Amino acid sequence: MTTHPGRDVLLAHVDGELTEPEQRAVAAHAAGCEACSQAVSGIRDSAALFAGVLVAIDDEEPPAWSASTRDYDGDGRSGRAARVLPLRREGPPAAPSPSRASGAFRWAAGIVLVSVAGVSAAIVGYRMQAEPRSELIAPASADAQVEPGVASLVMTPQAGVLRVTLSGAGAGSRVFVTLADGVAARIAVEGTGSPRFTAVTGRVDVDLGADVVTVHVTLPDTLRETIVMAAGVALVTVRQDSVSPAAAATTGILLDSALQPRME
Amino acid sequence: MACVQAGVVEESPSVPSHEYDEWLRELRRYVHRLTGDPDAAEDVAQEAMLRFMRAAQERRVRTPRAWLYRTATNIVRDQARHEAMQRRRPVPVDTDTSATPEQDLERGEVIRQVRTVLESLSPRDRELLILRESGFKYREIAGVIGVKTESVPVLAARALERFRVAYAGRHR
Repeated sequence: MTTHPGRDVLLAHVDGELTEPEQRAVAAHAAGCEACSQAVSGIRDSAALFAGVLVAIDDEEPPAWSASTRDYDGDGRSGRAARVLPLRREGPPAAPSPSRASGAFRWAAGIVLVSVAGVSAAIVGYRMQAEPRSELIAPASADAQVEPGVASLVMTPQAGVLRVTLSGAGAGSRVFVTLADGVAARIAVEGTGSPRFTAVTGRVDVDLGADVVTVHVTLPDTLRETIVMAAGVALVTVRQDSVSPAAAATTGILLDSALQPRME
Repeated sequence: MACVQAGVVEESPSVPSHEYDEWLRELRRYVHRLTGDPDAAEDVAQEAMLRFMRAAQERRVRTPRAWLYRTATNIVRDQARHEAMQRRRPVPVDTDTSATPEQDLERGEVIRQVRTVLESLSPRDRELLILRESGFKYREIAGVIGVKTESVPVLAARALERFRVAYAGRHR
């Protein structure tokens, strides 16, 4: 492909709507073309932002609407309407999980307030747990040890690729992505303007510039999809590498209203 | 809903009765995403389903999902055009008693900004992006909004860009 594909073609590529040969051609071109590769990232980021917007809208649905949703975790109660593909847990965590039908799982929710360079946003974090234990995401409350201008998001290990996208944070702001248990994770950071970062096992500290920064954290287990959204600032998408672009763009959040967020 | 009470659900060739609830719920979510109005979403979803049932009975439906969503989309467009549907902004009801005041304020502000961004888009941009994010294929999207399939990525790419710009400027 000697000419650059238009944004419509790139979007179709992201959505998996091209033919096989077309998909390969676009992928091959993007691999060698910085501008198009960034355009694709931009499209994915915009799509992810829009997905987050819909999550916020869906959150405003009347509680009565979720009164008759499916019972995903087999406990006889239904949670709020599901918007994600069910997660499959391939291996039990430290404690054995009770036997459940395939596809059954339980969600926990944590709410994290993030301050990035003075801009506040709420991150709603979700992780899967096999039993109702309290190994939740440990969120920071508004007056926890969050320094001004510093954002922190703590997640216990999840599988797949944890991608934190932050934009418009402003110079001088920093973000820490910390994995509990010191799980060995592959961490990479990319973004325009060569953001500075330090990575140690299980943790990455990123200095954000004024540009979009993406942090990729690859975790060892198998997880399908989840999304952690901070409306306006940070967006975290966890996806398995094999998920198609179209499916990856339609992740959402499952909130089990029976579980309370654990606040520090 | 008269159709359901008359047992049309069981007789419908296009929607198995056990999927009816699921279809209605998803349609309702779609309209809520489009309008931000839960009452309107209920009404429109019911009305669209009613029309769909009748049309399906009369064997007028070839692509069920597209037909249903096109009907709902058209109802929304008509009502918006006639200004019969005011886009209300209900005050978020706090059902989570563990939220702190800071989080309440945060959440209210977030939803306000998000709604403003969505409403700044044209109806078609909104429909396009919501349908795409809801997992519809381009061909289905084309059937719902009434364009050629090959136009969908062109229109959607522009809509996504307009959304990005609107979103970036949401604090103003």
